[in-house]
Amino acid sequence: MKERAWTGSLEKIDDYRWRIPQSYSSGMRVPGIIFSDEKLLRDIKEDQSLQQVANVAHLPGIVKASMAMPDIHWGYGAPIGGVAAFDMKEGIVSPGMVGYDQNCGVRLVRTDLTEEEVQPKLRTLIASLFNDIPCGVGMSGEIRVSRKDADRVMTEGSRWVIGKGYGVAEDAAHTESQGCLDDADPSQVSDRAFKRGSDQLGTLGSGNHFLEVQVVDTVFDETAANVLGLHEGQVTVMVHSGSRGFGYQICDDYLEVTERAMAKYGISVPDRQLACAPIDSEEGRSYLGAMRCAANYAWSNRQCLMHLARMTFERVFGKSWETLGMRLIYDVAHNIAKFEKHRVNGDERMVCVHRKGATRAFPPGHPEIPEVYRSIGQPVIIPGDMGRNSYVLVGTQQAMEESFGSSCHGAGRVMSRSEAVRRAAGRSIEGELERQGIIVMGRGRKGVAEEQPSAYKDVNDVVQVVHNAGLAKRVVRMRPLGVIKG
Amino acid sequence: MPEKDYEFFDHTADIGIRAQGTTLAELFAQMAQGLTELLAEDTVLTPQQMRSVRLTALDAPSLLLAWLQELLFWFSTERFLPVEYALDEVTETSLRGTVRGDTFDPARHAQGREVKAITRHLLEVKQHNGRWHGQVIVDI
Repeated sequence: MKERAWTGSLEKIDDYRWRIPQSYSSGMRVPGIIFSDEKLLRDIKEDQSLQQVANVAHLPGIVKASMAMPDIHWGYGAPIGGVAAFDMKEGIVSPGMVGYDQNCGVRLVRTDLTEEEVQPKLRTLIASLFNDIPCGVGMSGEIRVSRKDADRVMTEGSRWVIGKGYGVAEDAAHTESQGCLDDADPSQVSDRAFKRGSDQLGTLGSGNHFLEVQVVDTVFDETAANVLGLHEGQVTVMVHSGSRGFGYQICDDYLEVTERAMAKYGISVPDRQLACAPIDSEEGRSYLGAMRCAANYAWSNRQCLMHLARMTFERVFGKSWETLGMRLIYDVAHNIAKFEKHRVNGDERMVCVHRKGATRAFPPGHPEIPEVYRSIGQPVIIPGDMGRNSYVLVGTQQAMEESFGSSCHGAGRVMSRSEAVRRAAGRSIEGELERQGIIVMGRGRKGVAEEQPSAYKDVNDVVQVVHNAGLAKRVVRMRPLGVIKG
Repeated sequence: MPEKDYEFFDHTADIGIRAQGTTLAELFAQMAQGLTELLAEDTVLTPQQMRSVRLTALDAPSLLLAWLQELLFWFSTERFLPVEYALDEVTETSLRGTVRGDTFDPARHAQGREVKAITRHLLEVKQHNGRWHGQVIVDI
């Protein structure tokens, strides 16, 4: 089935902002706002993501606008790269607007190592990481939690695994929401979800999840870089993963719950996959309670993965991770729903912000940012796809005013999986990347082919738009040295 | 193992499975084979364990969804992959039977893709010219 290209109206506000007017569709309660430039817009118009932006605008209680980041692409119900906030009384919460991989996100770890120090041991390092970190289909983690302890992972997030020895207190302080959302409710999590999550803590997963060793190759903002502890030539480690089968099952469970709830509350949606329930309802509260469990599980997972990476570095370099300076810079979620205070029409009010493939980007001075970063703004970690650059940006007041403090999350796919595999026929993607100096180790045979760089939009273009639109400001750019994936 | 009567198709970032069968039971078996291939590629599996399955749903597409979700759950939690199917009773709203399968071993078997979920998007089960056709998209 070919997705039809966008033929609706799109008004240019300025070089980086576009509007789908409410007049486009009679059910739209707010306009659609797309942060993009002309170049990225050409791809965006090719799939039905703009129609999805318009569909989201139909949902009850939506505040201000249905928003889209420059890396937007088609998703189930709501587009990936979408941001929408809802009024606490009139508004809804929707599992499809968070995504199956709840709290899929990314963390960045600094080191004191330079590229020169790492290069002679790079192959050993990547091979060791590949060996030590469970990734791929059907791989279990070493870190098992009993059913009783699982409740604590769900309600305490990364703090709990840190307490078990998988990190230090500073790690939680440098994680969005300190690695734990309050009001997580394990009683709203199904037995199936528990079972799927029981052996997956400390596993990377597959698809576009990865663990990458990088080097900072460009510094855009020296002051901010210094505050973050980053400089050119420095080696970093990036972890991209989420809530694993635990989160996928919770989303599945609640897609069914919310679909049934819609008739009960008289909600109609333009797309069945935008199934939702009022925030102020039994079903809405249940979903949020369960989603927070998934979010906390994901933060625990990324904490465990970082711990495993630290242990590998210790073995390969013969020094403790503390001596190697492997401190967590920050961890951000890019699939989540959160209660946040935002200024709407001059008044401060609490809204439920859904970010699906979008990252929080709070401004300088915001109390939720770790004190050490408060002068520069919240670090925004943007993973590039395999073989391409990644970025660290910082959030801005403009994002707070325009996009509920949100920014892009990475780069979306532009090529289907089978097309990517076809184009890889007769080629070794690993070989090509190695000739560029990047070592790739992946488990699935088709996985690496499907994740080849050309299958994705160029993250540099995406970040450029976000920077020029003023939503987040570039601080540093990294390039990959080696990556492991499932 | 039934002879292959399914195919994959692209769907934006994910993959779809289309299958057919003379009976609903055959269609469901073909869909299961498709899912298995996504997870474990062309790994040769031998039927070593048996499981029984009993599901009900509101309609045929929902039943297909429930069937594939059950298989994905078995795989996620116990690495079980189906090989042979004895689905004695498959109507548009209920399914009962046994499945014989193997345990996936990442050390020996080919790794496919991680299937996160069976989506409801473009989910379809219909009868056409005396044959049953089905379609589903999985989230990778």
